[in-house]
Amino acid sequence: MKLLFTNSAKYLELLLFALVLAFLIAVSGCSAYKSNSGIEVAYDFEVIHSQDKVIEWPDSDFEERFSKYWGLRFEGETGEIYKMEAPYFRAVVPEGQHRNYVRGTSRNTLKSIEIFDKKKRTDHFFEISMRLHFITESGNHSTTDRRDRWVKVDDDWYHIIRNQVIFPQIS
Amino acid sequence: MIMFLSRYLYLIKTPLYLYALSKAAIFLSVISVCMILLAPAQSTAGENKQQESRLVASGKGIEIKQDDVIRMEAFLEENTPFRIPQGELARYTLKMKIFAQEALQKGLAGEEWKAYQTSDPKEIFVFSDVYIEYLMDNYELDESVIVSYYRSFPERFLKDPESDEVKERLRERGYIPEDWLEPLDEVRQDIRAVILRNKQRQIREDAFNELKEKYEATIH
Repeated sequence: MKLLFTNSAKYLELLLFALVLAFLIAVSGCSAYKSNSGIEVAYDFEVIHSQDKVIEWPDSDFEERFSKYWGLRFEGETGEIYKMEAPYFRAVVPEGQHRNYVRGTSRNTLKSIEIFDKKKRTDHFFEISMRLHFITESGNHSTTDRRDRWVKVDDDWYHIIRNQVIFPQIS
Repeated sequence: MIMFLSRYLYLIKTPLYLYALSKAAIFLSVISVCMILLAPAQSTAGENKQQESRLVASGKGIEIKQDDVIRMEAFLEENTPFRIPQGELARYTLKMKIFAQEALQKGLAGEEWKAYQTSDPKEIFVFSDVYIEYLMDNYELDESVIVSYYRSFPERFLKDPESDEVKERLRERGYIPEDWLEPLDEVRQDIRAVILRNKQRQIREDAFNELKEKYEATIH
């Protein structure tokens, strides 16, 4: 009887812990990014523009694709990200090689993307200067600066990877 | 038994007998040593011969022996910069042989070569190259692949990359108008060549896997 009581107490304790955890997640997860087009993107990070310099996205699809890509990348959805890479990249880089490259990102938790600049290089090619703010596996806040490139083909925006050291095939 | 042996014991004691016995012992020792020394050499030569004729891969109309692999390795060493790791030589030889066979059967090397069979590494190399060229020429690339490459690398398709205006615009990472670029149709073939060159290894491997099934080829 005593044993049964002890186990029940443990289960109650666990249940209570799970409820508290669910509540905390629900409360903290309310800051989902809302795009200009009004479509809510279900990722728990913000896209912010630094120095009050808001540069318009060329179109709402681009903004949505951009957020989706980085959200999926930090969630480790490698298959989905692969489909969002430029067609020429997918033609020469096998999915497995790409997976190995992007897998490391998912160990971190994306908190925000700070955009410094969006440059229209041609009518179909954009460069975004940005800083990724994320929490590492060990719980530290960290950042990385990058120039993110995107190309429009058949009315869709595709991400561009230009790392020729990792992917010599894309030279 | 003792009685029987005692009848001959006196012989052992005679010097002549001892002398003959020692000579025979020396002779037998020399023979034994020679046999011991020569035996491994004989067996190695035999094993080598057996090794060389060992079947390492086979399929419909295809037989590759260890000797073919050795000859292919020697040919590559002498005539090309390619060095194939030891563990992959049999697979490489099979691949080249299948490609060569396919080129011959398709009549790519000319109708008169259709029924030709060869085990000469140089010929295999040449005919396989004919097949690889055919593969590349006939590989279908989606239009979106070409277009995305063209649009992702605008700086590679500038009409006048040396003009000051263009140089400055590139330095500033500024906007490049469409009419500063070569028209896509004029660079389409170059883009296709670059992509196929970068994809060649993958195309070859895919073709090999397909043909391996067609020829029911296996590596032993």
